[in-house]
Formats: sequence, structure tokens, C-alpha cells
Amino acid sequence: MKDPEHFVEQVNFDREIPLDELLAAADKNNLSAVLDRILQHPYRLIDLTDQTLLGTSTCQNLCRATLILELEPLGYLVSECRDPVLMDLAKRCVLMQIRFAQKYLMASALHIEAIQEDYSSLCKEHQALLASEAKYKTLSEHLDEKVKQQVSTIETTQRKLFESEKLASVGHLAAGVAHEINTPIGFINSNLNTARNYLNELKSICSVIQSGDTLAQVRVAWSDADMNFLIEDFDDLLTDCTDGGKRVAEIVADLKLFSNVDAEEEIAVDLNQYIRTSCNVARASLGREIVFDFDLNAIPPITCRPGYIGQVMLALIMNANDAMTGNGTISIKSYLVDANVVVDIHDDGPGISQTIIDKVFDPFFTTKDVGEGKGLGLTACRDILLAHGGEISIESKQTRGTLVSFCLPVTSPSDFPKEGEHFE
Amino acid sequence: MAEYDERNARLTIKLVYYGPAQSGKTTNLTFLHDHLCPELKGEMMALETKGDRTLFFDLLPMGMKCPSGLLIKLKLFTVPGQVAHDSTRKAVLSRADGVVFVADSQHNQSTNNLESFENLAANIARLGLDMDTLPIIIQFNKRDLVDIISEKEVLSRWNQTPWPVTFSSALKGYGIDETFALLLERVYAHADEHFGLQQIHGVNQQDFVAKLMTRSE
Repeated sequence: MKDPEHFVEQVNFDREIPLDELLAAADKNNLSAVLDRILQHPYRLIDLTDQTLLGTSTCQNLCRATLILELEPLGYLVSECRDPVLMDLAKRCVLMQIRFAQKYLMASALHIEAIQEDYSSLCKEHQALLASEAKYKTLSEHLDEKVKQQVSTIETTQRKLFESEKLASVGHLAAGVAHEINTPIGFINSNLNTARNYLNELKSICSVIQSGDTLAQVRVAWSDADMNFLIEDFDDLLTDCTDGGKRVAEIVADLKLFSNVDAEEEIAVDLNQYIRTSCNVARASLGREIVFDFDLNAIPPITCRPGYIGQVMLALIMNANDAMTGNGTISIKSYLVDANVVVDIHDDGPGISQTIIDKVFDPFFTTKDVGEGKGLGLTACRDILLAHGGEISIESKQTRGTLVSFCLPVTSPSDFPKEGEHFE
Repeated sequence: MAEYDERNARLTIKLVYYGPAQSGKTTNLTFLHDHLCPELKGEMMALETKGDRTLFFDLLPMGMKCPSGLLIKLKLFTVPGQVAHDSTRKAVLSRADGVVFVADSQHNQSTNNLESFENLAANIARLGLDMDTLPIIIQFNKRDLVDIISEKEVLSRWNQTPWPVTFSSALKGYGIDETFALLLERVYAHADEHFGLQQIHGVNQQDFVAKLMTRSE
């Protein structure tokens, strides 16, 4: 099939152009009119094969002029005119015309060659562009796939890290609780041992009474055994044990708030209670004298996933504690601003340098020693609060401590992630 | 390769004057037209725009007859030097049997010379010609000017190449025929190899050059 774009037949511009083609491109009418006027006799233009191209074919060959355009004869001008001057003039006219035609034909052929060259190189460029476009398309599709793969790897890793962060906070909790429960259980055990000794003393008094001794003998035994003190101390022991039991019961009650760490259902909670409980739980593992200064104002209940909010409170208190090198005060304030409950946690530690404060919420950023912290505590807090429709901010003044503030909306957020999804 | 037309007993050899814009290609041809008187010489055809810039090409036909009756026809072409006319340049260069690269000796033209020569090499490759076998003469023109690159520097740069270097002033008229003679020698060698110029047509290199290089007085 012929390519419609190549409708012009291409010829070499520098080929030898025969006389008939040159004449075809020349102004034949004017040329013959001029030749008629000059020669005043019949004439004809013939090519090398004696074919008449212009003029009268029956014209007699009385005079002949050779037409040389470049180096060789192209044809002849034949005429019945015998005047050599007129013949020369006529020949010059013909040559002028065909030289002009030659120029035109060569230039136009070269022009076509150049244009088609441009066109074909454009086509080639176009093909190359299409090929490179296809290449980049494949690459971009591949890239998309690669990125998706990477994202999924990162998500999985992140989920695992958050999971381990959660376990770490549960670990903190367990250590504190164990310490808190150990103390009352210790003195309850010790008291019960003493009580058993007292019981043995009582048993010996009983055997004195049962053996039918005299009242005087019983009194002596009573006095020897210091039964008055014993009964009084027994009462104290039992009171201590009851108190210890109560304390364990209180700790267990506190713990219950954290027992549903993974519970996904939202319930309305009193944030103030969570603040106190978290401080109680934290206090056990703080290991030094930290004073909590509460300024907890009346706030409406917050609808949230309590396990996560407990995790946030505990993490922030532990952070405040870690920020202080010696003894110190952690001030916690809760209050209502518009439809948000705001909680400020302030420590009076050395504060955070301004050069790193912008990075504290970044994943894996930590100032703690290797193995001490993973740098996910604040990241996890921020993610949890964002998922609850809340916010967290931090400001710090060198030597004047750090203030972490978070707020939660009173109305419950409706766009919680579904079961199994992770806060991101 | 030269075009051999057995029917008309004609061998057409195409020689192309290549080079950057306004380096003196047309002036080379004009000089040869005005000062040489070969056995056969045609009119010079110039296709130029206003301001004497070559638009398509210039053409100077000349030739000689061999004892065998063969007409050796030389067609000397120039290309348009301006960068934009590359397709035209390539079309003119096609089927070339020899090239004179006319460089501009002026200091500020070094880059143009280099780019034009790279363009020549690229077009030779694109046209399926062979840079290693195609006769090429490097001509440093405009030696009559003042701010020009020294002969020593030119030679140190081009000595490593297989192409002979000539120095000329097309305007003052020296070095032009020397360049042309060098090209003719090389072109003869090629044509002789393929068409038996000496054995079949009875013309040797010396006659060939001498007949075409006859000076008109």
C-alpha cells in the first residue's frame, strides 16, 4: 500500500535532467513567441534522439545550434533561418530559459528531499518518544506496585512496633502493680503469722482453763502470757489486714480501668478518674519521691476507647517522670474549653531543647539510651488522640520544664477505625 | 560512489564543500570558476538568498575527456552552512565522492568549526558513507585575517587525524587550488580503483589533476 504521506515522487536533486523535462518546467509559450520573433523562420528544439520538443516538426535542418547546459549537449535548436547572429540570440534565449528551469527543478527536488528527511526524522523521533513513553509507563506501573509493596511492609512493621509499644506500657503497668500489691500482701502475711502465734498463746490459756485449775492459777497464766496486750495487738493486726485487703482491692479496681487495653468499644469515662488512677499505677514504678499536684476541674464524660486513653495518660506521666532527674512535681490540670476537654501535664524537669522539640512526635525519635526507649511513646499518643478527634501539643522552656497538652472533643468521634485496623 | 553511465559514456563525481556558515565555501567555488580552465567547464549555478547566504547549494560543473572517450564530469557543490539547514545539507552531501571541509580560521569560530565537523561526521554516518575511506581535505580558510588560530596550533590538533590540512584565503586566492588538487588526487585513487581510469580509460592521476587544474591566464 502506498503511504499517503509520500505522494511526491522523490528523485535525486543532482541527477541529469533531460531537455524535455527542462522545457516542461520552462515557460514554453513565451519561449516559442520569442523564438518566432527572433528567427522569423520555422524552427524546432530537438533532443539527442531527434525528437521535436518545441516548434515545427517539419522544419528543415538548414542551421543548427548545440544546446550545452553544463558540459555536454542536451539537444539542438534547428531552424530554416540562416542568420548566425539571430541563431546565437535564439540559442541564448533557450539556454536562459532551461537554465532557469534547471535551477528550479534542482531546488524543488532538494527541497522535497530535505522536507521528507525532516518528516522521516520526525517520525523516527516520534517512534522513539512512543517507545520511551511505553518504557516509562511500564516503569511507573512497576513503581506503583513496588511502592505499594513497601508501604505494606512499612505498615506491617509499624503495626508490630505499636503492638510492642503497647506491650511495653502493659509491662510498666504490671511492674508497678506487682510492687503496690506486694507491700500489703507482705504485711498481711507477717500479721497472720503473728496472729497464729497469738492463737497458740490463746490455746495454752484455754488448756489451763480446761484442766480445772483455780482462778488464781488462770490469772497467773493470763498475766504471764500478757493476754491484755495480745488481745489489743490482735485487734490491730486484723485492722491492718483489713486495710491491706482494702488497698489491694483498690489497686485491683484501678487496674480494671486498664484491663480492657484492647477493648474496641467506646464507653463514656470520667477522664479525671483516669488521671488519678494512672498516677496511682505510675507512682509504684516511679521509684523516687514525685509529688503529684492535681488541679482537676469538673469536666463532662468523654466517649472513648478507655484502654487507649489510659495508655496515653500513663505514657505521658512516665515521660514527665523520665524528664526529671531528681525529685520533682508533676502538675496535672484538667479543664473544659468550648467542647473540648483539655489536660495539661507539666513537669519541672530541665525541659526539651528547641532544636529537637519539633521531632518529638516523629516515629523512632528518642533521647533515651539505646534499649531504654523505642521513640514511639509520643507517636503512639498522638496517633491515638488524632483517632479520637483530639490533638496533642508540646512546649518547653529550658530549665522551666515541659508542658504537654492534649484535648479530646466532648462529642464522640464517629470515624473510629474498624475492628482490626490500627490507629495511623 | 561515483555514478557511471555506460550508455552516455559518462562518470559523474560529486565533490562537496562543507563547513560552518560563512567560512568561504561559495568563495572557494567562485575562485575555482574564475581561475581554472579545465577542458570542460560549465556555468556556476548559485542559489542564494539576499545577503549572499547560500540557501540550497552552489554548483560548479567541470570535466575532462579520457582517451577512451569517457567523460569524467565533476560536480562541485557547496552546502548551506547555517545550522538550521541540516536536512538540506544532508541531501546535498548524499552520494558525495569527496569532501572539502572549509573551516573558519578566526579564533571566535572554533566552536562553530567543531560543531560543523561533528555535523559532517554525523551526516556521513547517516548517509551510509564511510568516514575512513571518503576523501576529505580540511581547509583552514581566511588566513588573510588578523585574529586567527596559528598554523602550529591547527596542525597540532589535526595531525592525529587521517585528513590532510591546507591553509587558504579564498578571498585573496591562495591555497584554494592546492586544496582542490589534494582532493582530486584522492578522488582519482578511488575512481581508478573502481572504474579502471588508467587501465581502461587511459588517464593517470597526473593527467587527471593537470587537465582539471589548468590555470586560465
